[in-house]
Amino acid sequence: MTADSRTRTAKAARTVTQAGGRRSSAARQRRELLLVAAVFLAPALLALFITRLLPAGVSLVESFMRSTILNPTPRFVGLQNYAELFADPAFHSSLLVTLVFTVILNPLQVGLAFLLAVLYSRSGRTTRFFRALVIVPVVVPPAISAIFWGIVYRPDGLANALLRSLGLPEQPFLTSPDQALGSIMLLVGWVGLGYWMLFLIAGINDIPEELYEAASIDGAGSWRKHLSVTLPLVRRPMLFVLVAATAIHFITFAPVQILTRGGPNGSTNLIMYDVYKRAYDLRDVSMAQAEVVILVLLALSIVAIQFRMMRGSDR
Amino acid sequence: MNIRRHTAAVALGASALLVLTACAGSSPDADAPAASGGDLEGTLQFVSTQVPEKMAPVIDAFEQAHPDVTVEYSQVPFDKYNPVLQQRLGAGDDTIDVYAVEQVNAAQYAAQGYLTDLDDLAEKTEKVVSESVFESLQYDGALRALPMLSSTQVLLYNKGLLDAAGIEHPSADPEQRLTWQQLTEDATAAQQAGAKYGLMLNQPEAYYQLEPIIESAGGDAGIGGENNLEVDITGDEWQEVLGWYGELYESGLAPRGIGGFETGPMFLNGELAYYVTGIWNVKPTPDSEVDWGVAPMPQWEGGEAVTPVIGWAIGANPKSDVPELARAFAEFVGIDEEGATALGTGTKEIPGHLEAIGPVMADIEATAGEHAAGIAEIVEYELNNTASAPPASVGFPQFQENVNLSLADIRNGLSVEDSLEKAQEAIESAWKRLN
Repeated sequence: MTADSRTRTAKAARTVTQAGGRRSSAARQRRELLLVAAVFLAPALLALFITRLLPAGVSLVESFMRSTILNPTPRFVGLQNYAELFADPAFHSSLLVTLVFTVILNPLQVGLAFLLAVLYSRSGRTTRFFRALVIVPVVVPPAISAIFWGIVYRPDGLANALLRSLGLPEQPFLTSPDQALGSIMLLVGWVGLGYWMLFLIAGINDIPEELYEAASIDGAGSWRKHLSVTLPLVRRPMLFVLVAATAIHFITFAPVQILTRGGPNGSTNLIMYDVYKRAYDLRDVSMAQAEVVILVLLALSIVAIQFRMMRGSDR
Repeated sequence: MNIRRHTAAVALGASALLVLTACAGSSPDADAPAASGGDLEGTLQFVSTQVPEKMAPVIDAFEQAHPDVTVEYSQVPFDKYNPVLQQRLGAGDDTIDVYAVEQVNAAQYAAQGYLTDLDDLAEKTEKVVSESVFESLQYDGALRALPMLSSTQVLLYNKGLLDAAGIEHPSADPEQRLTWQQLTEDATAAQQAGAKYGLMLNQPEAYYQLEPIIESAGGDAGIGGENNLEVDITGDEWQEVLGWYGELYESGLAPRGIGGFETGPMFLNGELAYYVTGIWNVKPTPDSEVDWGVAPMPQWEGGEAVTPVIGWAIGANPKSDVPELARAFAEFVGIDEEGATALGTGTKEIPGHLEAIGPVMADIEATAGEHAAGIAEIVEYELNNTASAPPASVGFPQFQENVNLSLADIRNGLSVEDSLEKAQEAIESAWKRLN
């Protein structure tokens, strides 16, 4: 073996040793990274378990149990709570009211949020000012918003003063079975509009400017560009907004509890309020737990349909 | 590498801290008393709907009598009170030692196991409270709570608005009380003469306020029968009185869409000619320019005078870590004359203890000034002659909730008959699930 070949062999051996060292070092680094990740994630996972998964599990289990005022020891009753719930006309009414509320409010709110997002996605001092105005209701706690709108809807409130000044007849708003749900929708829509708009503005600002330039070269006008460029490319944030809005609308509670208590004539008895009423006003926690499970299943079903529809439009 | 290790250690420490912080909240109270034997000591948690300033005199008096005791008081607003208590007591919360409970709900709280048996105090209690109140605090043959506050309703009127309409002021003499029909006529005249609204009930959608009018018209409480678990709210008297009630709002004599907490300010702003309200609103009104007077609650034409007497009781949580202290405090507030007087003068409400009513009413009349002239005699008369409490029933919360919803619907213009039938069905359905 020549001196050169010995040197090469020694180098090769060092290289192999170094490679082995690097591999074991990389594995150690991966393990340490995983440990760090696990430690950082632990509080969040623990909180998720304690505040979300555990209560959900308890609800599911208790929905198959029955404990009543005169017989407080929980006992297994299978699907009896569900059967009695589905036989209750008040539950049918609450379910219908919730579906009408969600089906009407969701597209209106998300559609309007999209239009505002298109309008306010351009930069400029005036735009920023108006954008801030739209966002303001988001920072107001729901209970305060409800009280504010309660004053607006009073018989001698702001809304009727406005109608009077326009020469229009006064309206009963929250005291009419025909108008109360619409009045709650307006309130909830007002609160959430700015919030959803923010997500859509972020989505619009991510669209490359070249696509609009290309559309302009092809002769597309402003509306055409929004229909053919903005709308398809903002689909992902739109899906998030649609799903989140659906979930939030299904658990609308504060305005109903503060302003109408489900009335008049059950016209605003949204399912989340119905759950509260059964649990704390009627003291029937078992039935309320069954209703919570149904509420979650319903919301998940609608969210799944939305995912499917949006995925369909991807193809 | 070192940085990563250090970061991991910090994160681990932070997680541990979070967990420990979370656990700290559930650790046993380090200040738990060593009660029994001699005098009491320790910390007591007391919950009710009253603002803290009103409860301060009775708490101070108890702490003075027991220097080693600290009473920590929490207020929960009335409209959230029962849900909050149900949630906390239902979860086995031991941070409530003693709490106020509406007398009408005492039976249900006892049935749920949320009230300590106080039957060894029954003999002493029976001597100092009215028979109807004593009965309302029993469940399953045992005393479960002690009387705290009682109530009655009176008619307040705006002298200026009545004078403008040329209407005579109603008499403070209970024997000369108005009828509801006369009151409606006078309220209409006052509104025509310029009052924004003629008449308003303090809690416009509350069974508590409407039920005595139904009884005055010859009806009954709507709840009775075996174990007070039979309901009938569709009778003629219910329909007649609630038809009158619906018409108040239909005609615009009273406003729709106004909550109970808004009615007091409306009266003190001069918007109402007549205001039917609880004794708690007979108090000094230095910020109002309205000149008002007080008269007894009206009666139904051709019927007898009936007034509501739903009160508050005080009970001890069986989960309390300081049961002897809780019991001693409840005893002091409920059936000790000194404690009951301190409670009444602080809250400006009628104490449940009969011996304490006189001094407290004299104090209320003195502090409310000339507006409240005659209130002491009115209250004494009503408590002795016209007061009617609904029967104690474990199904009362379901009954009351559905009747109140029905009243709200009638107020908003829905058919009286349909609303009552719907409420009756809902109550029967809810009661089927009591067992």
